[in-house]
Amino acid sequence: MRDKLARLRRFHLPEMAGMLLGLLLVASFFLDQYRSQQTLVAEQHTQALDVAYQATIEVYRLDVETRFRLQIMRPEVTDLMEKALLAEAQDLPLIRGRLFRLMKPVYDELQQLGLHQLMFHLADDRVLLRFHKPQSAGDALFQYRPSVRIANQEKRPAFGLEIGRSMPGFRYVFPVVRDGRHLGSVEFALTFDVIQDRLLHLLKAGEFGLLFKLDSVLASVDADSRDRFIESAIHPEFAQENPAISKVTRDFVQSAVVRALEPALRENRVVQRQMSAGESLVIPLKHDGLDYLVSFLPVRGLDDKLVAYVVRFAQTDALRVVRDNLLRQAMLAIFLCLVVVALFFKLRVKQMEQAADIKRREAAEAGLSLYANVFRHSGEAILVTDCANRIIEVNPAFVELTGYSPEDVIGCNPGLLASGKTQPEVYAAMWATLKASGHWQGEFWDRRKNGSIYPKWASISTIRDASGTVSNYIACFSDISERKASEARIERLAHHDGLTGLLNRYSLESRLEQVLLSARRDNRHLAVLFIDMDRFKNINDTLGHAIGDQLLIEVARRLERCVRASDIVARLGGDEFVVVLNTLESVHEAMPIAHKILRRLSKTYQIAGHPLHSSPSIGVAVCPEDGDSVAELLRNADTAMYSAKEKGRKNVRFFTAELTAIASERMALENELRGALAAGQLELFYQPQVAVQGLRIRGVEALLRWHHPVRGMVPPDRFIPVAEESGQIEEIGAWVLDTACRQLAEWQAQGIGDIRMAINLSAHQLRSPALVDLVAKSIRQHGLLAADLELEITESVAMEDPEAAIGQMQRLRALGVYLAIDDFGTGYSSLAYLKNLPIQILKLDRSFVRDIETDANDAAISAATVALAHRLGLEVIAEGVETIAQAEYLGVDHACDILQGYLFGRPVPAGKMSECLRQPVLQWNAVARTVLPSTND
Amino acid sequence: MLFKYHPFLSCLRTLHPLLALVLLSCLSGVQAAEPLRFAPLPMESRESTVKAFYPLVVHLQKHLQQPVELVYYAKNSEIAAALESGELDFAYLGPLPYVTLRQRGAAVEPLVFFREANGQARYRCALVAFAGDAAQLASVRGKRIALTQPLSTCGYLGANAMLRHEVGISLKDMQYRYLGSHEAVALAVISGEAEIGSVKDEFAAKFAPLGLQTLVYSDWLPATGLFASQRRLDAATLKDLRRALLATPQKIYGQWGGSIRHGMSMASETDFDSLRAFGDPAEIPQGKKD
Repeated sequence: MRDKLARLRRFHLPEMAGMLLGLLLVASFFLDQYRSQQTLVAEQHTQALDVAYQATIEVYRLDVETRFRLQIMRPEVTDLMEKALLAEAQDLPLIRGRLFRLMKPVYDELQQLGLHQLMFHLADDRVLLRFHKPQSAGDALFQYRPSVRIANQEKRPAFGLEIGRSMPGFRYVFPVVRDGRHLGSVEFALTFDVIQDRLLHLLKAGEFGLLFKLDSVLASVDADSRDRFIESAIHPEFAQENPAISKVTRDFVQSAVVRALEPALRENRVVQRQMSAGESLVIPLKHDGLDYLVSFLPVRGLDDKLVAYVVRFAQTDALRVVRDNLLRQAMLAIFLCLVVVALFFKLRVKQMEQAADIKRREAAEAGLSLYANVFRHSGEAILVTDCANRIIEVNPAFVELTGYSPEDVIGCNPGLLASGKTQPEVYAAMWATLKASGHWQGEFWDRRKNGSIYPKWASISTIRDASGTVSNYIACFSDISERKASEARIERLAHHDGLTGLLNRYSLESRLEQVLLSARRDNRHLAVLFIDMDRFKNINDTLGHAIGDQLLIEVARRLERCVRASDIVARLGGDEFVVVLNTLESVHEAMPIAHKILRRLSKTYQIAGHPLHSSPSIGVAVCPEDGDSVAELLRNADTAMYSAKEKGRKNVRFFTAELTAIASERMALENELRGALAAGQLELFYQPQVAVQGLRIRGVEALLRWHHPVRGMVPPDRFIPVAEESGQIEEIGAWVLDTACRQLAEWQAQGIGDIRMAINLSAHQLRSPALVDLVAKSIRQHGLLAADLELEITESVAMEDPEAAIGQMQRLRALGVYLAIDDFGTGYSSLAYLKNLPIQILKLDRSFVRDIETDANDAAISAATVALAHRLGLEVIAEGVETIAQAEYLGVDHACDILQGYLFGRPVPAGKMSECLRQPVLQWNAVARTVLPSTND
Repeated sequence: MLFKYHPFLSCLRTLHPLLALVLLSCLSGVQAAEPLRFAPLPMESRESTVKAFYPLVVHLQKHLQQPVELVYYAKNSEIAAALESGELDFAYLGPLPYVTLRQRGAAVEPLVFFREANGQARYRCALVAFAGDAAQLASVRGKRIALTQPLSTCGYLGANAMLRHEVGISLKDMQYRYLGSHEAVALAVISGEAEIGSVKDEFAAKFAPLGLQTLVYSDWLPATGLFASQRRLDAATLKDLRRALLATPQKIYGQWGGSIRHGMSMASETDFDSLRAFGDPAEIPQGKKD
């Protein structure tokens, strides 16, 4: 449909527009022809009327001229005229009577001819005798009758239509001159009804009327004769004969048709305008379905002024004939036009079809050329066989791929390419598919001319001729050696660890699933060893990833050597490995292998010249005792591995039921912790930090407590790790920060000022990009100074990702808060490393403080740490100070800046801490008295 | 606009619708407004007769507020018959046709008499001859005499009465021909087609400029006039018609034709006594005598 429309727009619309234009032109032509023919008919009518009128006048002129010569210009007539001219008044009647008697026969003849007027007029402008009104004589006429005046004064004949004093008519006036003496004139006159009869005789049809110029009527007609005229029904400037009189005098009545046509003429502006201008015209009118032509012939008087119009009303078939003829011709012309247009359309369609054929042929040829080019230049090898499967054509790519030239293979069966590696079933399936669907795709292993075997992807199609018989086979194929290799690589990457080449987690689980099935089927045991390399992260961070990766590769290599080929070795990620021992006769076989692994992996590694020390922590889960599913075994082995780490690393730990209980409790704790915050079970306790100088409480450390409704008070070291591992630490940390800040603000509002609030940051918090904004917001929200806050970060947390930790700490420091390294001494950082951290405070771990009094080493380390920290410009807080001796050793003897411990106060709720803060200055004795013999926090 | 300022055209303008109505009724036979039918005696040519009486018709239409149709008959007898039969409402007649109708018991009554040029409602018949022929009454026996119509007052009876009275001869002794009208009789005499003719004195005078000479006049006769059919017109209409005619001002009837332009007077039955002396109309021969 859309194509048809498009073609219609492209092709038919212009032609159709042209056709319409042509039809319009034809119609216009015939309309113009009709008008022309109408005009011609009208002109013919006008000319006919004119000719008939002139002929009538001329015929009578010739007649009266003859009569004038022969019947008037006789001596007896002229004698009487001469006598009359000279006679006295009393003699005139007799002369007039004699003339009447003399001319009566002539007058009778004239009347027979239709000439109803014969008048003798004397040269001195007296009417001698009017035959049509003989009793009226003696009057002067020059004034009213130009013809009489001209004949008598100019002595020449005068002819023309004149209205006269009583009766209009066409006058022929001849001067009577005898022997050079002008006696007067003789007038013959035709009345209009005679002219009308004559016109009717000549023109055969029509009805006539004579319209007189009204001003001429008024100028010449006597008053008692004016009722002969009335205003014309056609034009107000003209008068016509009074029908009331003509009806009686001549039995003449206008026809109903004429009376019906007259109003239309009166309304016709052309008629009104052209009659006023004295122009001839013809008006076509219709009445009762008939055509009429109304011709107006202007008649001019002797003075060449318009006197009257001869009007002819003629019913005519000419217009209808013209119309019918033109209509027939127009129909014929339109028909011919349509035929021509149809032929043109047909021709155009044929041309378009030919053009389309040419285009299709060109396209086909181009297609063939294209196919030939494609065949020649295709990157794929193409082989064409005949119906008997004999090679008839190969392309250059085939030659290049197989090494066979066309001459080598033309006429041969493609089987010469076979390598023997492809299974016969493949060929059978190929032929079956080709037979069924005409197309087959698949892989072959073929052999090149040089004997090498290669895999190829082949696409074979059956070509059938018009009758459906197989005529050819076309095979396109390409060498897929590279693709196969890529697929192998991809497969390997999908199932193996990219770094070590061991199986990855996915493959581990898959393979483990298989061996589990096999083990259950064979009633055998298998063991899953979960191995985590201790301190690998430290090596990776300190020596770089490249060294770390080499270490992992070596670990993998050692693992593979520790087990049999049938066992599974996989790397889960990072420094975590899994070994599946799948052919154990008993669970006891796992122990020696695990220890062998422990030993081998604990040996020093030589990586890039670095002697590296790393040992594994190995957890073992045995099937079916510790589980019979992949997930269960891996989880339990992992649990055992954590247990091994907790037991001091570098050992093997078999999974036990107890470990399961611990894991279950941990899970329960995690779940219960999720609702603790909302349930208001968490609370901050505050422990004072006392400045040695002045024994004044310089700050408090906020310490989190969980009031468990069942378990009672849960210690932080039990739930904080759970919170960190479960991701709840961020929410809890934000709550701690907000609560501590609010509390400090309250204390400041209570006038307890000049103390610092120490808040611990977890590793998760330190890594959070939102930490800085959160701290800034809390400070701003509670109206604190940044220097009122001290954020404590454990050494191990800071050392997990030192670069990131330094960046985060710098941003925190930029806020103005104090930063402290907590539990210093428990990690592996050196004091030299501390100088890179933007910290102001170092908190000495309680493990050093605890044995100061009894362990010289700890005392020395503590003293050295305080001294070195001071050298670095750091303030030192000693944690876990419980005795006065510890306090004096650290504070007095070694100038430790701040002491914190039970000696100065346990962690207490905010309310209790408020009371303490109201007495910020302590005395040693007082302090000693407050100390209670209980465990430190 | 021309009609507005010209009295004649203004008159035409006024009358034209009425005339058209007359024509319309004549042509279509529609009797929506029944016209009064009037016929004049054909004393002159048809053209002259119609022209003479047309103004009278127009005048009556105007005053009667009723169309009046002018009907032309070539013979007096036809007019009489039409009036008698009720085809005409009124007619211009001479005394003889009226008396004849009365004798036949026709329901006709005189409306008005037209006065002659002398101002009197009476006229005479005249025997006329062309002056150039020097005709003598004494020698008219056997000569050609032109007569108007059998039922014309100055026709057979008038001519016969004058001849009997003057020269003691009868028309039977003459070659007489009926020529239809007084005008035709006069012109026939002038043209020499007849030696003498009998016409109304008005026509003798009218054609005197052509050498027509009066040989003898008859006694005075009642003037020509309008006579109405009592069958067609009721008394009230007759009264209206008569009143309208008699009230016509001189400036109006002065525009009428030659025979009726001198005014009118009341008609009466006794006026016709003198005509009876002419003889019995029943004895009038209808054809010519050669």
